[in-house]
Amino acid sequence: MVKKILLVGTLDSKGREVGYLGQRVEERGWGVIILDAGTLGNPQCCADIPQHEVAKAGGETLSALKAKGDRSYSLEVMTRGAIKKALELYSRGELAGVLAIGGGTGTAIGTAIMRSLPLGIPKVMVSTVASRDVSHYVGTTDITMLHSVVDLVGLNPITKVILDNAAGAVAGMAETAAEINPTHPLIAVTSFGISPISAELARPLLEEKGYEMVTFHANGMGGRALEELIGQEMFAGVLDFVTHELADQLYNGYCGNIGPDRLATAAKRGVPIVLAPGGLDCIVFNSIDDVPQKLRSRKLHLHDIRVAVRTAKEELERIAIILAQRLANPKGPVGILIPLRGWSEVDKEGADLFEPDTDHFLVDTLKRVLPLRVSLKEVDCHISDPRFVQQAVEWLDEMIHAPG
Amino acid sequence: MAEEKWQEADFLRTEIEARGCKAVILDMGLLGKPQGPCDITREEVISLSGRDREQVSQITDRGKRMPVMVDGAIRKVRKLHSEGNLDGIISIGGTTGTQMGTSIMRSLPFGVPKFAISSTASLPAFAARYIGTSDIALMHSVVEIAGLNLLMRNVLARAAGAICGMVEASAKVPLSLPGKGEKPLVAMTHFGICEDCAVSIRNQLEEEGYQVIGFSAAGIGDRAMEEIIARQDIFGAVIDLCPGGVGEELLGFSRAAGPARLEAAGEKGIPQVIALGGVNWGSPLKREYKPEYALRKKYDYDALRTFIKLSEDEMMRVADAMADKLNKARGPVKVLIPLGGWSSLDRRGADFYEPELNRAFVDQLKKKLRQDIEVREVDADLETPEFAQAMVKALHEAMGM
Repeated sequence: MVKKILLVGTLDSKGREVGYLGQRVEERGWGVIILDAGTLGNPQCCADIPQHEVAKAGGETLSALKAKGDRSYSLEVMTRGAIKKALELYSRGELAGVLAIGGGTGTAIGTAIMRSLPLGIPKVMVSTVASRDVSHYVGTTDITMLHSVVDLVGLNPITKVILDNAAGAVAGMAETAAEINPTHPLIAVTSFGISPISAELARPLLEEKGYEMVTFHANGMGGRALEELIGQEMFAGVLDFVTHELADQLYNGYCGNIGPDRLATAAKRGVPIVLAPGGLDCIVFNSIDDVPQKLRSRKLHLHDIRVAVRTAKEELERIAIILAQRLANPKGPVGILIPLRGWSEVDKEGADLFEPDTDHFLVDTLKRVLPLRVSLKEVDCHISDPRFVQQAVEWLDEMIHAPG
Repeated sequence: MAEEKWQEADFLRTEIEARGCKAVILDMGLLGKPQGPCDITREEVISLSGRDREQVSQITDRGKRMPVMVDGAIRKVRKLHSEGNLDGIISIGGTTGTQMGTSIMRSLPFGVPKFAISSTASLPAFAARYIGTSDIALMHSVVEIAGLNLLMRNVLARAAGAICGMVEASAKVPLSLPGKGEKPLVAMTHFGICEDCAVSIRNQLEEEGYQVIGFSAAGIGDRAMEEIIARQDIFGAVIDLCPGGVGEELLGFSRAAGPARLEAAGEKGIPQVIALGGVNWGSPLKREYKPEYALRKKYDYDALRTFIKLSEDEMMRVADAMADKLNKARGPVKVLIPLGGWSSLDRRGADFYEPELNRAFVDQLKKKLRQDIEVREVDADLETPEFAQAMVKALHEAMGM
């Protein structure tokens, strides 16, 4: 089966532009499949997957959508249908990449399709709204946003430059995109500014054992991306050194935007995981002004403009309970490895937030509330100590090789 | 930054060269030592910045080194481009690297392929800062850019394919502008509440053989229009249907289009026709609402945006600002006033229609504008075909036809 590139747009308003893109992509030797996500007017160019088929896949008839005339409902149905169509192509092995164009609505549909596809499939979104907050469009996926600068109305020398670049980009990507076939099993490792050392120490140890390491920046988005890719069964095991995001989530801090799945996916999927309390010694805020009143009397560490506030008994007990909930009913081995002499570069002997006695509230609570199948071990050193990292790697390796 | 990401850059180079393009690595390194050889070294970048190398070597603060490196790199990259030795640019980085890489890209003209791979592409508000008004493609790396693992190699290979694909596509069809004797390109601003007028104008002009390039007046598109006009000779005329970005900038609202809004066409002497589409509305961010805004007339445009009517005092300030800007114009300018209302929301008869307020604005504008700038009143509302026709007619006159 020859793979093709899926082109997505609302052909009532962007038909000519999508048609032009199709030509340009075909000139580069790729077949195209045009999907019409529009519901309003009549399409300006012919679609391979016309609007009525998309609506049907979304669970409605096109005429019902038109009769109802509810924009956001139409958007919802067409998005659902388009995703279904794209996933069908993908599962038949026919999808070489996705290219979509649009304004606000088109970008919502285009990126929704892209987000439903796994890492590695080329995804290019030509958008008039690329130069804004795109976090909800891109999310945890490898989408390329191409800012159109001008409105994508009409074919003129300016819009053609943008469309040419977009066609070139998706075709070029499709030409180099290889299947992700690990030669070595992959291990996901989390890292973050205030505790980056453990990950770097783990790299040679993992490589020695025949693994390849993939690092995630646990800054909120990185943690969510990690969970997403664990869900795509990308990893043989997870070394989650930096669980700091849980502390930020309590106060909506710098890395707090992690959603309910952070730390839960590996346990749910049965992927072996060793996790550590990296960065749970503090809550990070964007600036001193964002620190809530009740935390202002705590110990502080000024990072740059960001501020780290020491966690206390109150937060650590809550985090322990949240951890226990997220790790409930694990399908595979789960281990928690606690370093007793500090959890980050600001929580070590001599540093601003060093409080090993406070750290203990997390451990004590964990011991009470953790599910039986989750084991906890303590190591009498700092989280960046090679001995700690060594033990974490060894433990994970044992889990991966454990029978059954 | 070759002290951290040289391996990744070198891998990109190999991939790009495997596709038949040539790649040159420029080191934006801040501190530490490069992990491998670079074609354009950090020393060269520093000396191009015009700063003393000794002095720069004393700077140990990353943040203070960044502007030096960006400065030097911009000079290098623009020189390469003007000599015809640059077909495209690709950068790789986290927050710091992407900030520097995209700053360099933003200094290159529209149409030059620009591709940034960033581990922070998806963080709220970062994309806006990276892309600005430029045609940058921004790819989210998903995984941390730290070492060439399988996933990183996959992302980098696709990025290399993309930039080569873009370069090949743009080399085949370079930006082709209308020649002498052909109708020039017309830039036009528009906005949701003036859309009927924009469509009518576009249709009329396209029928006459013009090509109309639309810029959304939401604070980015209109800002981009000013920059493109200032930097590239692309447009033969401008229809500024929705110059609301001037007032938004002045009043600190969300569609602020920069201090240079409504100035570039004038500086270049390009004929321009201005209307007042939506100029009497403002869009402050909800979280920046002042208590008195609650008393204004307001309109909820969608879930995210609410417009409020400007006060008389604000209208006067906007009129002054627009007059100051247009008075500097070196080319023909005409301002058209639709007496029947300035947007689809405040047509004659609507609750939002406030003719006295509009009149005060127009009087102030006329008082402040140069005598030779014509202010033409049209007895129709902005969204009617009559007004669109009047705009097209004024454009012909401004262009001396």
